[in-house]
Amino acid sequence: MNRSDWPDDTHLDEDLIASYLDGTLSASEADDVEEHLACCAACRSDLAAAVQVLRSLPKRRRWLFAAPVAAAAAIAMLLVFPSDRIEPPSDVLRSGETIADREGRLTIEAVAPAPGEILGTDSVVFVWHAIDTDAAYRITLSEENGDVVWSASTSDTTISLPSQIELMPDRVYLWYVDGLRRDIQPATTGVIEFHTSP
Amino acid sequence: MAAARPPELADLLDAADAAITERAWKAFVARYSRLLLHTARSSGVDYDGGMDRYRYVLEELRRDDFRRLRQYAVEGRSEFTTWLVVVGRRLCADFHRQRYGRDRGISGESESDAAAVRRRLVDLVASGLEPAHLSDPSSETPEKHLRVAELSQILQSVVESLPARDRVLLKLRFEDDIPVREIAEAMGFPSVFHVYRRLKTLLGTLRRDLRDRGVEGPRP
Repeated sequence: MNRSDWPDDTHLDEDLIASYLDGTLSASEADDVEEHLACCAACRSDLAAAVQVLRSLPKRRRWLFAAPVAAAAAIAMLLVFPSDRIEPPSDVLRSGETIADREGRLTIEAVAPAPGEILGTDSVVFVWHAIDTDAAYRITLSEENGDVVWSASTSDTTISLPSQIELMPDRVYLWYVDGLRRDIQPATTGVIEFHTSP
Repeated sequence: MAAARPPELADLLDAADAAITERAWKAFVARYSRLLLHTARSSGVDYDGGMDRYRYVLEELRRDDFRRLRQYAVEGRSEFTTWLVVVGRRLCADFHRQRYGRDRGISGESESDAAAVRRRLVDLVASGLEPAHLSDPSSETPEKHLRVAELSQILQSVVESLPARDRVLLKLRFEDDIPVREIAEAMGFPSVFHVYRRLKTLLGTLRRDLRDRGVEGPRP
């Protein structure tokens, strides 16, 4: 692959972006990818979006790889600044912005059904923790292929699956709750999977 | 050399008949549904649209006898899950364009938002050249607007002379408004502090280069 191989209107293919993220490209290939990224907002957007998704997953391979280096850097910083919080240089953050501000969407803590829990098909109760005293929630239950089985809005943090909604035995179901706080901050549980017994 | 295929993908692509293919597809979906759902739901500001995007991604992965998946099996060098996230994200963007057109980005950011973010780099560099901040409303004059436009133009040419990796870093941070933690992961920096350090060095370089070109500040 060479930079000159790319016409102006083409983009990096998915495997190049993924390999760049995985850190598996040769130095010369990585240079070529960066030459393209420097000029192509669409590919930078794809790269950044993929990172956003990957880093919100439970496990990240890159962190495992980078953990010793990051830990060494953190220890070195603690030795230099033993008692204070480590803050980035002020001129690379917006005014008033902290790293924590940039961490993304708020989380609703799901209680039940727990991830991977096996339940009967007759009665399912969904429970989650409140994010605010006056928050509004929307719960969605779907089949594994994404077909929505049931959805409801509530201001409570517990809701039972209506009796007219029949779950099939030995299936995987997915549920999630999206919430909105009084200050219009959105929050979500993320997708949680449970199984029905055979 | 192509990466090793995960078993669910190998079973799917090697399936001998329609019934086996269907079973293998179900197993594939069972294995990767959470990842794809997460990708679909993270790819838009409307949570309810997440399921529509997810269905679209599944349809597109099935299309033409799993053409995209077969392409990975032949040429893929990255880890399959990383590849699947990148493909899923692009398919979500396609879905968004088909449904809503190209006026706004998938994240909902408008052109004026993007311009405002871009302006920050000019502000940051200029604020190091002289104490007066560019966005100070009391000093808004036509001369200053002209000067800011000139500064922006000169700054762009200075940025273009930097190595590609530095340009990507600056653009991710100041044009695309990507959080530093995500930049660190995307570009393989060991920690966010390495990103901050590099950005600080680059801002210093840009200020020095601007001074070398006779730019002392945003004032005319």
